[in-house]
Amino acid sequence: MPSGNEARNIEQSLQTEYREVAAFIRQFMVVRFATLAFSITLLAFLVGVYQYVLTMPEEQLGIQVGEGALLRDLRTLALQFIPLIGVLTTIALQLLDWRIRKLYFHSCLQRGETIEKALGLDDAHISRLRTTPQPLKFITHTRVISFFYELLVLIWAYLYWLSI
Amino acid sequence: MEQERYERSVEWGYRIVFATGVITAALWLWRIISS
Repeated sequence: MPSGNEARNIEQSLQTEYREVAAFIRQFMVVRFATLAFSITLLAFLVGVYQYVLTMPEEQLGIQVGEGALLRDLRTLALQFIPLIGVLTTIALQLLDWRIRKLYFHSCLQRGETIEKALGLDDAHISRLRTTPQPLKFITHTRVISFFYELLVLIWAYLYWLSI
Repeated sequence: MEQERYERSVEWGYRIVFATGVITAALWLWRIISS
């Protein structure tokens, strides 16, 4: 049984940790949405470049004498590698989100709830994050973010199917 | 119990996205190699 001073110290430490945990929760949420926004921006950019290269007229490539062959090579390279880069970056960003989500859940939400119990806070903020009712009973941030990543991958798969 | 079930479904969601990504990347890579 800790003495009065020890108990107060433990409580202060828990309060400090609780603030840190809450700050990390905010930070992780921001990073997850920033990553998703970046992946969508990257997709728009790459699809734009892909479409530009794909629809570039043949004559335009031969305008500059001597540079035509180089441009044709670059076009072939771009058409081959842009979709591959697009899919690989989407996978990398999705893996990043997977990891952040695990950190968010295990090191923040679970720990936050443990601290709330230790401090005697019933039904406090972090517990409520988990128990808040979900729209349509299954919509969560994680599911919607995963849906977006799946959509990005399917766009590249659709482009592959179109280009067969 | 409900939380565990949710965690499992989330993990499967991530795995499905990852698997479709890998398959799509493999298809594009195969096209580069075969051309």
